[in-house]
Amino acid sequence: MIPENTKHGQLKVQVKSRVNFGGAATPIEIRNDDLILIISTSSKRIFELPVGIYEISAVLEDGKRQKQTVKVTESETANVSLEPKLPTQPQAPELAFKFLSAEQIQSLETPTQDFKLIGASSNVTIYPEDGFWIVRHRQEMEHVAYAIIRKGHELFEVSLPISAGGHRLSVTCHIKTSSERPKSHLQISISQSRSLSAALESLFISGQIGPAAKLAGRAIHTLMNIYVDPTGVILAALILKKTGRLGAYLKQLEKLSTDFPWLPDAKILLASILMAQPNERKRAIQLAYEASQERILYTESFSMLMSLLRYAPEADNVALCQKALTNIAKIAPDVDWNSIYLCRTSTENSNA
Amino acid sequence: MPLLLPEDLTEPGTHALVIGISAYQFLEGGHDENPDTLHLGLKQLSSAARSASEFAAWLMDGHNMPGLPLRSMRVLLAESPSEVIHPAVQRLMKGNHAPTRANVEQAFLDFMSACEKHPENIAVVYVAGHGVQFTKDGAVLLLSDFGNPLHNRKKYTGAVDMTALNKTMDNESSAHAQFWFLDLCRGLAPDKEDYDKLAGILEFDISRSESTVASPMFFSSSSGQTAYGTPNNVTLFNEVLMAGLREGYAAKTDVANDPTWRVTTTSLIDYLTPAVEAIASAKGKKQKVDVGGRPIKACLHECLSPPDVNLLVTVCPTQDPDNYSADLKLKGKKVGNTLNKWPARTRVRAGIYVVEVTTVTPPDSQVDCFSIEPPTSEMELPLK
Repeated sequence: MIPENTKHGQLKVQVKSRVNFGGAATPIEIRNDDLILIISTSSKRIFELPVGIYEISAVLEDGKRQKQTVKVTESETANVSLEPKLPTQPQAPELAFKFLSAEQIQSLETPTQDFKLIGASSNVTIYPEDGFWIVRHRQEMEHVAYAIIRKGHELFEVSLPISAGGHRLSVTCHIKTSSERPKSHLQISISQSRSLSAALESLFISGQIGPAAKLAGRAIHTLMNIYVDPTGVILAALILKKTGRLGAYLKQLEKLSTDFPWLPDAKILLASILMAQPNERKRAIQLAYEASQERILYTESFSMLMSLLRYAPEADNVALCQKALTNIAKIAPDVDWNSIYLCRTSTENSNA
Repeated sequence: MPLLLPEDLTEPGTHALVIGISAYQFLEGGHDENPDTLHLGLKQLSSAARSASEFAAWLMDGHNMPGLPLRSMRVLLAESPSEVIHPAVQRLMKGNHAPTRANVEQAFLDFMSACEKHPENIAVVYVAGHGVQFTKDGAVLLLSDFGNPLHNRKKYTGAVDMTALNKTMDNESSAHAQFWFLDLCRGLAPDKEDYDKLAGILEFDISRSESTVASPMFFSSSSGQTAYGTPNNVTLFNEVLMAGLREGYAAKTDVANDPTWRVTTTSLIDYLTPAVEAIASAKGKKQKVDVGGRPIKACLHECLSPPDVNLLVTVCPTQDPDNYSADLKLKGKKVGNTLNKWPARTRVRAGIYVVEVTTVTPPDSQVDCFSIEPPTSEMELPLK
């Protein structure tokens, strides 16, 4: 209960975000000086609050909860602005010819460079800029794009979250080619220009599954129909799967696997939902088998496929299941489970 | 008998299964060392059983869920000779409580039955011991009889697939909220043929339906990593988790205008990941908590009071420390003594404080707000 004579002041909150309608629909939390949650809202941004000290916070697209403390007084409006702390990324050039082929990139390499490009799938082109390779796909997709990169004696063969899409210049990813620390891992991230997909990626990596799921529900429609970004849709679907909400998106999964047959992750997600229906299990295993023969994009999908096959009911198409499992079990020991994108690691001396 | 408390299934409540394995009979250094297991490089442990017992003890004396009290707890421990089990748990351990394949299988069946009695139930699983990994979400716990020569040609008979058990319980007829704490190494299996099939492993029929059960799995280490422990003490993950539960460091208020501090899926994710990384880093190790399962919102524990926080206040090295003093105020009232000896360490209730910083030369006073949040807060003067 707040006493009647309590003095009030005004608080205005601004969330500077590239998702959730420019931050206008980002959920925010307000806590009082006992750190007790007093308001949790996605839509309201102006508040009349008892005079006092408050903490305003929101989980933003950098995957972190950004916080600010503020004093609300009777005399003037207190303003709070929250914004994500995104790492700096160079922008892709607008002209496609500035992107180079894998061979051209190899010819530009210097002996001191940390990461070296050994190879890439056809039609992968790269624009090197400011310690990054900005990667785009030149033609329509036939399979998940990949790159083979060497760091020291380690080789990484990694799937890339890119697609041709309807706005192909923006469906890029960034590979960090310089590292401050000698033991740093290969870093691949969705370009920040793909704001929605990049936000999903950051939230997924940071384990902020709750806020990620809120974003993912809307993202499925947007990334399938407005900014065509199938690799981003898969990420949204993986997040929804984690929260047990993917079943409601069966139609979208069917469309995704039909419209983007080169993306086996869609088949895996669809199979995982169909597996729950006894009369659809045969099809689920067929989809799983098809996916097992293709290059998979996300480590999470690969893991899901492995679990799906290992725990498949004995009575259902055992032979096909076993063949599929054999296909992926060959790869599994070399998979870097910490990488979001399916990455096989080996040393140059090994026979892997 | 693994059941430590008389089981009460008449009302909804919390049901727990706790397994800790330090002593491995057939691994290197065990009573019946099996030479066929030596290539795995797995040795005896010394903090897994103690860690599990600490968690079990907290469930008995610290866990608080109004309306859903602890109604059953099964504990299976294999302690190393020099390991000290929590006395409250040790007192109640009667009969055969060895975490062998046979005992764990029966305990799991009984635990699952208990959880299914009421959908409002909460299920809590804590396991500590050797582990291996086969998938991103995977965690296989090696039981105390892993490597038994009698398990010939079925190497994983003495092991339990924790991810499969999580999936088995992932259905609407089981407890609506399940918390899985998997305190084990997640090294990759050394034998490549195992990725195809884990011969003999303990698993049950899994649920294929997409349920809305909250079943977060907190892995103490990420893929390929070792989960560290202090010899003859507790694991790093356990040390952090127990502080989070006992001190309320893992709690937050999460319902508008409700002052109750709760340990929930979300608050555990926010707390465990940085806290385990920090404690490991302080010991020169790298260990990162992974979250799997279905990490949707559910409550494990309600704190009886807001948490206290260890506060460290320092003066910027470029400044003269003798020039500074500081007072902390909460709701307009001064808290504790004036801080003027640096570094200053104090323990205060979590909250947003007004900090009044006074300098002698020039005579001045600076006032600012500072949020002091669990588990620790560090403040440097002058405030920026």
